[in-house]
Amino acid sequence: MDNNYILEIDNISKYFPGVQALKNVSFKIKKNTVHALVGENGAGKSTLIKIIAGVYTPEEGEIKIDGNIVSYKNPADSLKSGISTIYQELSVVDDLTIAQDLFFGEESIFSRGGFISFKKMNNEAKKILDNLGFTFNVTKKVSSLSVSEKQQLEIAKAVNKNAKIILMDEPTSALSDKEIENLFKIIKKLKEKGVSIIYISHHLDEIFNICDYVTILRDGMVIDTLEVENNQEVKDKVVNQMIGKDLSKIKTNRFKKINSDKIVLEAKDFSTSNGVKNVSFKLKYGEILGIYGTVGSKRTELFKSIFTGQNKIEGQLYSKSKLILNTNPEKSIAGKLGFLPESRKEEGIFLGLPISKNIPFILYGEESKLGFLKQKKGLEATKKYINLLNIKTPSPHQIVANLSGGNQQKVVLAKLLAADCDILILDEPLVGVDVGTKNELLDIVNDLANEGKSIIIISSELPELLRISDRILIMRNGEIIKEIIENFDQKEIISYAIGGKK
Amino acid sequence: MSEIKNINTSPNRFKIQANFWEIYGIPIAFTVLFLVFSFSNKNFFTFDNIMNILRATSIIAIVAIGTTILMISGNIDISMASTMAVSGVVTIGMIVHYNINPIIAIVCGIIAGGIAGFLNSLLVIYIKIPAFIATLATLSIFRGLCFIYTKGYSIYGDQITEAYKFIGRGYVFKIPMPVIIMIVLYVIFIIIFKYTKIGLYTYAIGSNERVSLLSGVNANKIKMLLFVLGGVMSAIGGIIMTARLGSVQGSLADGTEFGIITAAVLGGVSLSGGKGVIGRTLLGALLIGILNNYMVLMNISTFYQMVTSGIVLLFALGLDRLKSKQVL
Repeated sequence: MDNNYILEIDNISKYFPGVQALKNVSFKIKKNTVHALVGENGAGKSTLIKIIAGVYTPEEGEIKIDGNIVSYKNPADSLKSGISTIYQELSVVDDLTIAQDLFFGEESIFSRGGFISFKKMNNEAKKILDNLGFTFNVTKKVSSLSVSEKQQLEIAKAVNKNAKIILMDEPTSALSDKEIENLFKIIKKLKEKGVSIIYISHHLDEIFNICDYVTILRDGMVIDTLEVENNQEVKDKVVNQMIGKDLSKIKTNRFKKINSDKIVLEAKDFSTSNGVKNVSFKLKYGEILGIYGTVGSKRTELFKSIFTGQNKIEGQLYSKSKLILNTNPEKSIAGKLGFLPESRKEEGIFLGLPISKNIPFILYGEESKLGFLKQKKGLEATKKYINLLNIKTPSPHQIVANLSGGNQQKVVLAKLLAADCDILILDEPLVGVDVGTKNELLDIVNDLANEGKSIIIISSELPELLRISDRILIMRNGEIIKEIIENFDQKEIISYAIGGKK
Repeated sequence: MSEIKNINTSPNRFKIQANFWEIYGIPIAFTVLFLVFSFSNKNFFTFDNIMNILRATSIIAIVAIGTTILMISGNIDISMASTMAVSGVVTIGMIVHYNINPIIAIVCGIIAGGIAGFLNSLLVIYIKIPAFIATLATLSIFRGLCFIYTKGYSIYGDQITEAYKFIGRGYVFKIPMPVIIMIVLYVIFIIIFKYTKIGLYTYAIGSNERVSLLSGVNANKIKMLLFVLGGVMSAIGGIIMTARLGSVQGSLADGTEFGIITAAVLGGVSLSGGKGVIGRTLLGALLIGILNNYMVLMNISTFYQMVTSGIVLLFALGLDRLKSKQVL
């Protein structure tokens, strides 16, 4: 039988403790096509990529390449069968030369009696790169390349490994418009060479520019696979399918118009070296300001820079109408500005210390007598938040590393809440929290705002964001592209965030 | 409630066992050795010998306070024996060569130790040289400076009064002066590290420096303070040593870094930081103390003592690495 499909995903399911990440996912990828994979954050795209790349093994279902069933035990198996993955974090080695990196792990083909002939290697590398139209000096270090050139090097590596399918995970997230254009040219060239591409992106305009097919994922399921035609009708269909139908009417219990003139935090023309461009916003006293944006919208970068002072290149920041020049976490916290980081384990919590040291940590720093900790107050706060957030632990003195992931998250949040800040920036506070706790958290945030705290909440979970926010700012490509004050419409918000609407 | 019980029993049984040896391993080893030594040699468990052991241990135990607090923060200073010599040479040099009041000389010696620690902190914090390598370099520099000043000779003289020597040789109520100083310092540091911000922040930096930065801790300031305190502890140890000897030479305390680090690691300080209790370092120091004392009593040559010390350090380090694995 003649097989039109290079890759067939058949009925794949994947479970993680407590969640089913993928439910009976099936789709096929035609030879010589660019196939887009879209879905909201948490729809299961990353899990699916990792299964195709051999990082995860699915519990059910099979993968066929060229009609043959394959089973992957590790990423090397996937690579061998002709699938190369280009992740957002590029895996090139800065200290090698371009030629060495291109042939990393394959040096033996240039080896004679244990010595590597670098002359041969360089010549061969030049040939491969020329063939793709890349003009690199192959004897230069990888570190001398720009991000987009490093990405090109990765593409060359994939081609060198005879990849039949190249997976690209958000390939444009760090590229300029011109570099994106260039990437599209490369993708077209790859297509001519018989390579199929799986293109994962949040940007609808890119997908409608370069892709032939699009598969839409939602809640771990394939909703549909469409042929791409560049018209508004298909675009609307994609957006509709990403968010589902039932969700456009959301109960909202806040949406207060905050009439207070008291501005507690203001940014003017704020730019950072890692992609935030001329952002301005105001946070009012007692307000809950929601921030929505897809991965790569630089929302974390913006607020982390406001809190830490790092990477800021331009702009002014005012806290309670006072201009803040150089800030750092110490000064921010002293100014009653608190930040809940997105990566809790790496940035939010002391795994090796007990809960009773973690929760009151900032509180201890703020209030101490001659350097002596107010341990009674600290223990009271610890117990209060263990109860309030329902943290499951045998004792307040348990080491945090021994708690489950969800409970660790709650400890991070408790640590910030116990600090009694006036302004709270919460980056993805709902990730990894079960439904019941989610509601509790939203109630707590609501209460805090009613008490006069001002809160910025960054979340990918739009229904929850709609429920809690008084106002929503939508970020895309490092800019705030839309402010939504009333008539919150989920579809409209997503359209703005992914570029279906401008 | 049922869930809470679950956490307590089945899945963590392995961890509870690991904790058991982590907490009680060294005290048990100490007790067993102490009993064995007491019964196998009648000269071991006598008041005079116990005081001997305490006095012999005190200097190492004092300097090990500095090592412990640095290691809790995930740093290390291996130049402490050289810093001891610097402080000893400064103090005795001022007293003998410049006839300076011993009290002022001691203060200057302690400041010299603090400056040595400060220099180490600059190398580690601002030039970002790994602490082990930076202090390996200053170990050599400080030691060399001591030899240059002393020209390889001992410094001694009548200017070193009995009152000065009392610091190292004297007794108060039959308890050696160095032991009293040791106890006072341990009490102070145990309180600081249990009840103050400095203690909390030291553990926090050792546990995860990034998190402590984002939680508003000025980590560099704390690390600098720890290096300076480490230098001051070395200085106190070095000065007591000169008082005991009644003189100083460039090679003062050479080689003691070994016992100091062993004491801290035996006490349960982790090489990867974030863990350790100051009081247990004292127990680690005493464990080495009774081992060395017993070998002297049994007329075992110092060459064998060196081998034994190495084995004890490896044992302590191995214990630390095994513990770290279980966390993963």
